[in-house]
Amino acid sequence: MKKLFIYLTILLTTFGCKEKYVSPVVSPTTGYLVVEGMINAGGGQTQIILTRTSTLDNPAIIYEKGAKITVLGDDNSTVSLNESSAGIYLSAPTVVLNNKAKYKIAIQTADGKTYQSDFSAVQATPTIDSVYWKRENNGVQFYVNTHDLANATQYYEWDFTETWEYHSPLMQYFQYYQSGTRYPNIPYYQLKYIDPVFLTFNMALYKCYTTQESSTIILSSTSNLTQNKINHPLNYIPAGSVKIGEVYSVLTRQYGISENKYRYLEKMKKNTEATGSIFDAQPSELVGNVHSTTNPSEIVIGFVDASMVQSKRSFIKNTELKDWNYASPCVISEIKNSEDSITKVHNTLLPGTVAKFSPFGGILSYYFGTPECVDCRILHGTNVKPSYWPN
Amino acid sequence: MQKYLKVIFILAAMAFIHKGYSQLDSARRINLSGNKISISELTNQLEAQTKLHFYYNPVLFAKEQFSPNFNNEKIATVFAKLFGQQAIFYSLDNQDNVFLTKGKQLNIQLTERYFSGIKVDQNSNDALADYDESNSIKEALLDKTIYEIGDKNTGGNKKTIVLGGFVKDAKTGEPIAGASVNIDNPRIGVNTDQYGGFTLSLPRGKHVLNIQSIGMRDIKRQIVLYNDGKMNVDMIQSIMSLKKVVISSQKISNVRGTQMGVQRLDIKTIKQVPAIFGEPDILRVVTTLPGVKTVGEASTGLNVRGGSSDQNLILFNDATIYNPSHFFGMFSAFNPELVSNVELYKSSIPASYGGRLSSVLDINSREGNKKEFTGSAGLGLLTSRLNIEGPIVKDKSSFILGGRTTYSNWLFKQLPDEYKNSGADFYDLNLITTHELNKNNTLYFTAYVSKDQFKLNSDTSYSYGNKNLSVKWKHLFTSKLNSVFTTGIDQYNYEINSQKLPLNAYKLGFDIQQSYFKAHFNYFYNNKHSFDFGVNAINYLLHPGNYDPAGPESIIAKDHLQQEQGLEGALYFSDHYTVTSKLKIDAGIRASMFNAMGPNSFNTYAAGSPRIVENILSSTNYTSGQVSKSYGGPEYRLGFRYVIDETLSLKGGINTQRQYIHSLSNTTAMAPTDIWKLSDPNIKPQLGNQVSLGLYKNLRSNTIEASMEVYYKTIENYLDYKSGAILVMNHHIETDVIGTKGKAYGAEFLLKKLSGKLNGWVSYTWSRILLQQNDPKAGELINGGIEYPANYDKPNDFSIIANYKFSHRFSISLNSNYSTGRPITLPIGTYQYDGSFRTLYAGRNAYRIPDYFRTDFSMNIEGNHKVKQLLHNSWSIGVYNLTGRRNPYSIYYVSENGAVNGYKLSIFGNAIPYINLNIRFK
Repeated sequence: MKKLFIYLTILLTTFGCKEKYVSPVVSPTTGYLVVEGMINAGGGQTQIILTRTSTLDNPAIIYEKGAKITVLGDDNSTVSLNESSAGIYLSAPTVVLNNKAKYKIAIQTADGKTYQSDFSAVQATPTIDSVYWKRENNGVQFYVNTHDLANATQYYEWDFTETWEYHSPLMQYFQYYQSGTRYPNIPYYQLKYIDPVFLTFNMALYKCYTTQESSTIILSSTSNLTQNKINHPLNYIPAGSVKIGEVYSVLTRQYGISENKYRYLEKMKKNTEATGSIFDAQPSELVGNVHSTTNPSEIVIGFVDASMVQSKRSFIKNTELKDWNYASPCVISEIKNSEDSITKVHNTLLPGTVAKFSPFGGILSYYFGTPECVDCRILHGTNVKPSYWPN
Repeated sequence: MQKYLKVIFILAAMAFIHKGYSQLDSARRINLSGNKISISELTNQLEAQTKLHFYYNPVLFAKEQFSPNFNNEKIATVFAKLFGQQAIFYSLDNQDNVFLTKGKQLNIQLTERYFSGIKVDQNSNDALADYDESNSIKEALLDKTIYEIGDKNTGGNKKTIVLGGFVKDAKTGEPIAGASVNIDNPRIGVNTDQYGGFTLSLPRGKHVLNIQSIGMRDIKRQIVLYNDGKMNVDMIQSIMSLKKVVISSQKISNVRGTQMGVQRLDIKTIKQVPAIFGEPDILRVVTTLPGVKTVGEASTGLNVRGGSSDQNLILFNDATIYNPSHFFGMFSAFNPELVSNVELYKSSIPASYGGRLSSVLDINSREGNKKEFTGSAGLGLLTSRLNIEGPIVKDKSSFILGGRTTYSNWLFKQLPDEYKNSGADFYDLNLITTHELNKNNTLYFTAYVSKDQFKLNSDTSYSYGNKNLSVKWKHLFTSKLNSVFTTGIDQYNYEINSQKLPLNAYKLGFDIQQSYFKAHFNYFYNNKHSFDFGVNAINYLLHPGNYDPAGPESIIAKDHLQQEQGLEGALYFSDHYTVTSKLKIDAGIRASMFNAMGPNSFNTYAAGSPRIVENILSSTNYTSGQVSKSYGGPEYRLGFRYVIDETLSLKGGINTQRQYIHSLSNTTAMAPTDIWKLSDPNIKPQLGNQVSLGLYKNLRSNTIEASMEVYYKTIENYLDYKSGAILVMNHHIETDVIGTKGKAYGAEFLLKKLSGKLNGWVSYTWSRILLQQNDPKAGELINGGIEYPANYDKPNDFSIIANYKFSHRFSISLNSNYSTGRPITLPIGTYQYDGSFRTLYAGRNAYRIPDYFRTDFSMNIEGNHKVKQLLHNSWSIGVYNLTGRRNPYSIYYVSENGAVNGYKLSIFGNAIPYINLNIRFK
């Protein structure tokens, strides 16, 4: 249904148009508490993030520091969380909870206000059967498969972390060095091999790894199915994306959630991701399961329940895809290997590889580009290879 | 009387016969021989030797054979011998035309069947209608004739006499609705109804009856009334007169009618208004009338005087059309070529209509041409249409068949790659037949089918359609009592098919079916009282949602929402009471009642607690046909008109309405997938009350109609949805909707000029519609229980429709509209959740989108005006949204790649030119 509406919008905007809009209305300062996270009942670490709402014209993550968070069980057990960094509260790395008990969190903010979530039964999460992909509209669409024979979980949520390897389009074999000074005191530069012995390139600038967290809410339910079996689309990578320029990996995490959390996230998704079509459902107010005990009418955002996480990592290599056609936006140019020309560009453009050799083995010209074309660390993350990365 | 008629008849006949014979005598003598020759050979030979022209029905004469053997014989002898033996009648007129008929002789002189009913000479009544005679001769003749109705000697001496009859188009035989029939002294007049019928109560004696209708030549008939009787009048179209045509200005209906808040639009008017892609659109023209609004450009849903789009009863020849739109709401579902007129009732709704709170939009089709086969075709950029009409039995019955379709695929080719495999198309088909069984009985048959389908990348397809069938029998008991009986079936359904994931492939269907019976009677008691009364019954059957697996791999659980069934009945009675010549009152009462019926089951909720799943106490089962809940009550319809002077009147009305079927929607626009819901133990009927008052003034010798109306309206149990409501496949829908209270008020101004070179109208409306949910027992308070504006609350609304006729072949039209932006819910802040910034909402409909302004322009070019050519072409060329203003349809915020972006969406953000060719053919 939703898709239909998005599609109609696209159709109609061929006549019409979609323009950026900046509201003339000055948004009020709200500063409502936002509670994100879940009570990890799978034996792992519980993480709760506290932030405050910000204004519409100036979105910012305002972390709520100095709060005290405790997980309370209806079996009178307690687990306390510590603020590991501003606004991020963690339990001990392994905490075993009682799967028969119900849990909630209690928050006391630095200004003394108290909040509590509703008690939540522990929601089991079945393991992921598979994460696979197929080509769709020339891009790559990932799907998740799972099932629950016990039918203990009917509502699922997923998120994922993508990591991809990136290679700089220009390998750096050379570096500049000051070859001398000319009158009155102008330094002059020349080219030299980075590794004059083996004549290899600078690996540290060549291979990088970018990591990106998912930013959409992905939900599915088996409540209207005859079998507890799920086949659901996850992330889509459009054709030619840099993500599968070399090697791509995605870590998919699956959560079994309660029906109430499912409804809550579904509304949040409708309000914030699925808007903008001709037949818009009107945005609506969200009521989560975290409430202020100091002032019951205070708006609090968030839904905290007790669940477990299952995860699975998958890879795609560029060589598995036909016609992926990733094209780097880098502009690479050839330049004469001369002191004059090198001195002109040495500040802004980095050298890459040899373009032309002289008949005697000397370098006549070389390729160069902007630093982003040579140094992958500028735009494409870290050059530290993750431990799970294939060779 | 009889004697008198006979005398006229014989005298007239003699005049013809005499003239005819003198021509025959003077003609040459005939030499003719042949063996078993056909009628065409015979007439060809006769035409070759004389100046005569022969007319006959080739079908009837196909088997006739003639073996003439004449040598220098007189024509009269030839005719007598040729035709006399084979029982063929022949008639001659004064232009050397010979009409051959079988069974009856064609009466050349009596061009109208005017004396019908009481004490009519059987001879004249049995004569067949005229063929093709010069209009001028006919008119001159009829104008001067004195028609006596009733017998002077035996008619008694009643002081007031009831005259009834029908006004028809002389050329096509179609009834003319809305024609004014009146006498000057004393001033008594009525307008014809949709069947062209009228009833007048006049003083005994001599009168001049004036009949006027837009686009028709004015007609005068001299009558002498002795007793109750009937008189049928044929009007002639005032086409193509290159002389100046003065359309008479006695347009008194604005001031004189009792009904207020009624707008009648003629299809000619509608066609002049520029339209998207050049397809004349009835509903869009209706939205330019005062008090009528629409949510936006992609929606044909109407909001009349603060009502939601489901509060309009849209009738096409008495059939209820549940979804009046095509192509995502860009076009309305009515073929303009088949529509005769549209009437919108928004304040004094006649007691014969009911079941919806806000308005009745009554769309009447044309009747087919009863005289000859004609047709028309239209070609546009996106749509085309074809219509054929003609007699089934000449002068007695006719049909009209029309169809439209679209070829929009070129449009989809313009879309990005991902959407190229998509498509959308629609069609609609109409068949309307009329059978005049005899003078007192007419049967109408209407069939309507429409279907829309569209698919996304060939894996999800959507379709919806209307199917309607109705039979109407109009019966005249006496000239004072007439009746209309209607029965039919209306159906609407939609279906969604998704094949994207084989495991989750599904089919979702919704349908509604209603069968109805209506009996309506009109009794003309006397000059003071005329009564309307009748009975309505509708049986509803809904399947609110059938969710089924599609394909062998699908593991979708079959889920069918329980069917809903209900019976709505109503009895009504109203009196049009003429208190004095200045004061008229329309008083009506409609007792309506609704029974929700099994088989199904309904949840019971704890008394005094909100309807949420947690409060379900139990559920009660009802067997088939068992009534689970009854609702009902009286609806009052009261209207008055007081004439202050000849051109000024005051009108007022009180109206109450009940509505038992509701559409549930949480989208702004009317979506094709909105579902309908019957009232049941948990969903109460909607109630509406309206008080209105208006002032009507005709200016410039009645060429300009001005009106002003004010109204105040309350609505109870108006269904709004709760935050985040799920309306599709919901087994306990009552938990997601909430009954709110609404109040609407406003003032409407209209200035209308329908004749002259410059014509059109200007309308301005100021209005509000506010809703409120402040009952904590009913569920969540919306906006904390304070009043909030409905989605379509647009306080200021201004429209101009102007047409200027440069000549009979060239005219231009301009349509301009300004309105306040509609209310929307804007975010008040942002927060970070699940990896993205997200918007924070509070306060429903607290902001407004920027104001709306649009101007459209079109030129209409007619081909030449020769009446007798086979094809008449006309072109309309125009530009929609001439100024190219990017009117925002919506403003929305969406989380994309972790950030919140705001957008303004305009649907027709550029000037859109169009061209359309219309062809009429015979």
